[in-house]
Amino acid sequence: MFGVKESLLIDLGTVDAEQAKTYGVKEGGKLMSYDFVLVSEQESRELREKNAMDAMKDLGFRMKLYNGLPVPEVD
Amino acid sequence: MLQEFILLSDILGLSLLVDSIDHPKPPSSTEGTVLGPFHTHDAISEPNGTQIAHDPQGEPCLAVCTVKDTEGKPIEGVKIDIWETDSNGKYDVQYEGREQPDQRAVMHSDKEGVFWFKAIVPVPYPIPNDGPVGKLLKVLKRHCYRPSHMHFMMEKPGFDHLIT
Repeated sequence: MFGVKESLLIDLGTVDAEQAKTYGVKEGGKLMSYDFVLVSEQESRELREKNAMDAMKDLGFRMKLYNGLPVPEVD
Repeated sequence: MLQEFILLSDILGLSLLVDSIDHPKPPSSTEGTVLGPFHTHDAISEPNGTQIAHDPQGEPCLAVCTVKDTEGKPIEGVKIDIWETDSNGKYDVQYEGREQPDQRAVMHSDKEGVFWFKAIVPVPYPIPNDGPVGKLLKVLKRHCYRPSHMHFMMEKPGFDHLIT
């Protein structure tokens, strides 16, 4: 109902013999594994600013960024 | 009423619209999703391998995860807040007389970017539907269930805050 993001959906796996030994759980139990990828603050800021400026351009506005916010380019 | 407002914002997609503008994600990175009203600040910091859920009715689930940057390098020392419901689809805070946190913990990724813990298999549950938001969903003929999920909040200085 909330517009589930498909990239976040996973099927649970099964704990194999080696994992059971390594992690001290029962073999055959449920296993959830996910590899998270974090974005650096710099990558995030650059993408946010690019998206903002692209959106302004699409609207036909001549803008520049000031402290991360698009403001009119008046010069 | 505060929770109704969050719910309304969530069901309309407004929360995630704001999140996607403030925290844009390159294609290779993990997408964010709703924080929800059930995060708390009293989860206990636990080492890797901890049993974080103690509901005897829950089906045990081993979780083994990694945290990496967009270049595939492991990130050590990420603070990871984890929370889920019990086997009835209820968070600890939804019970009266809650004495201590359960089905939640704070962990840290190790040198290889790994964190692991023992929990229970998440179950689907309805969002609170006894208020105006519940009525709205009924009028819109939408069900009020969220898919089975576990929440993760990850933070480390230098990285964009992730709630998923």
